[in-house]
Amino acid sequence: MNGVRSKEFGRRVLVMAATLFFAVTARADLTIDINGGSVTQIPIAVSSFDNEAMSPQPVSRIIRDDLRRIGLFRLVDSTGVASSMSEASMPFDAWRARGADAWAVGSITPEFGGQYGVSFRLMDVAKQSQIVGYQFSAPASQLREVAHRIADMIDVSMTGDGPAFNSRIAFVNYAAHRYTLQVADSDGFDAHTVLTSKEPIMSPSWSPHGGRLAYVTFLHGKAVIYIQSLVTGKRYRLGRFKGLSSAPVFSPDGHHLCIVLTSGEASRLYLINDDGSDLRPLTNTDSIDTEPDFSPDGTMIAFTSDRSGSPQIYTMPSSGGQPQRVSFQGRYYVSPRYSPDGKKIVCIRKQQGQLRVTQLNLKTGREQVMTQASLDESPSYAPNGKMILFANADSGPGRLVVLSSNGLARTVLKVKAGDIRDPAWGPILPNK
Amino acid sequence: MMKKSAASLLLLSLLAACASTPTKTAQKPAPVQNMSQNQSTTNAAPAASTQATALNPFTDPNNPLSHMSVYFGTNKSNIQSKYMPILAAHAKYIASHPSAHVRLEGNCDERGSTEYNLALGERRAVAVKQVLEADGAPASQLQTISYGKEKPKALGHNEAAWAQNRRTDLDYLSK
Repeated sequence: MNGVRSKEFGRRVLVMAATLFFAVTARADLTIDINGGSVTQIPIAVSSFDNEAMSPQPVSRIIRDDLRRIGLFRLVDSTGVASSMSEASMPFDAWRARGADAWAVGSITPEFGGQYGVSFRLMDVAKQSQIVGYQFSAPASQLREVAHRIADMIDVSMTGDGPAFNSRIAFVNYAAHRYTLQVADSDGFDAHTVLTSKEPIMSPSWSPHGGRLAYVTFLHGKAVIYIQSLVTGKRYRLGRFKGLSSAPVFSPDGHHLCIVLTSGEASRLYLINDDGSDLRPLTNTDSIDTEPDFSPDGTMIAFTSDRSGSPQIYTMPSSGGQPQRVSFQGRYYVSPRYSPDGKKIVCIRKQQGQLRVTQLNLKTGREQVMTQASLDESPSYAPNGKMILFANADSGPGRLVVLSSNGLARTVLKVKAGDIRDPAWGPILPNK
Repeated sequence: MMKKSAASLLLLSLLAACASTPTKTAQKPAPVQNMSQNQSTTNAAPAASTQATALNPFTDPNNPLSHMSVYFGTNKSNIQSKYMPILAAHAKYIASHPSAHVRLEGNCDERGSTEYNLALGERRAVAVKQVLEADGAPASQLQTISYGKEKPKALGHNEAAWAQNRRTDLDYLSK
């Protein structure tokens, strides 16, 4: 076990040199009214990088797509404006005329040994000064990651939020009578297969540092939990139980999990160490208690329970205690996941017979239905809480959708065709 | 004792009613069709009318044993009374055939979460098991499994498909 845990590190080593200045700017001139509240988008231009045509990856396009997906930026058209990395010849007047508050410019240079040097600068158009800049050196295989990291630096320095894009997502793809557990970048690219099976695979869940996945398989003829290292590929079955075991989720410290054991009519929450030892019951009614999720500080657990007669969202202390119901306006809620700040829960609510991504504000009790869809499922927040990933099956097979938490941007991720289900957004990849 | 035999009598009469008037029930059309289709996949059902030989009870559409699925309402796991004669017949068969082993497979429609449906599917399987046991089938010859919404019988995204997928199948591992 310790071996597995100690090997939990990022898949990619990224060499970078760098420096710079960092400032938080939060200005905006575009205000959009949505759901009765006002939402602002920061106008930003991202020029094509110098030599980008020669680059194996369209770095500036990856950055623009990231910034669009999060709904916090309005991408200003950059065509026809000459880009320049040197301040003396930067076209600030043109950006001011186009209404951009900020402008990102960069270059890609082939280096000795198959590496690529990527530099970028984010400029404040009004002040004509640099907000943040960075220089990376990376092999072609890591250029998409470099682009996501640049997008994160832009987002972080403009909004003050945490990073989101340099992360991965896990999901199950059902195609040609096979279930495939896959992991991809946060934009759906670079998907690779973790596990393939003719039997169902369900409910992938990330370890806190992204080095392991817990999931459910039917490899033994019934639902059982496995934990698999994404570094070594090694996996092991978590415990041996008489009934079904499912819905695993790691605690924030990564040392234990909350799981669901189903026996007879009852499904109950349990805590268990990540080596399968020390099983401790958390709930003990004869209702269905399932889909647990730890609050970010680990003190609380949110879960689905039909103890009131229909499935609703509850929270309870992870040390045990009385559950409190937190969903009230509808008759059917499932799949709760905490926001990274612990203040909200995203879940699926049935509204007029349709299953829709819904945010519950734990402090105010306000519920915000986020889509007009019919068949949303399995929502989870980006690591900074500003996007929600879920599956939608309105048009047939399940597709991956990223919705900005402010509701302004909705993006269907392009992944290999199949029926996609049970997506889960993982943590930010560690810097190396 | 009194109570039990009264219940058995009731079930017997229901069973008789079911056997004699198989198509005159108030069931929704889709599940009924499907229940009989369920068998035709494993056995080319003989055109029965003129045959004098004994029919296989599991493929004779007039025999309650030919019905291998119990269907449920949305988000429900209670067994509707119309299935009681069918389950009573299966329980009787299982009790009188010690070699028979049945896996009760609970399923759900595609709506709702994977995990809630996994639990609900188990509940639907257990609900059938409880009725079979109450009707005399030994627990040792029964087992349950839930596939949640992972193994839909009907692939459509509409109520007709969903109705077929909210079910518990009786899978005879041996007869």
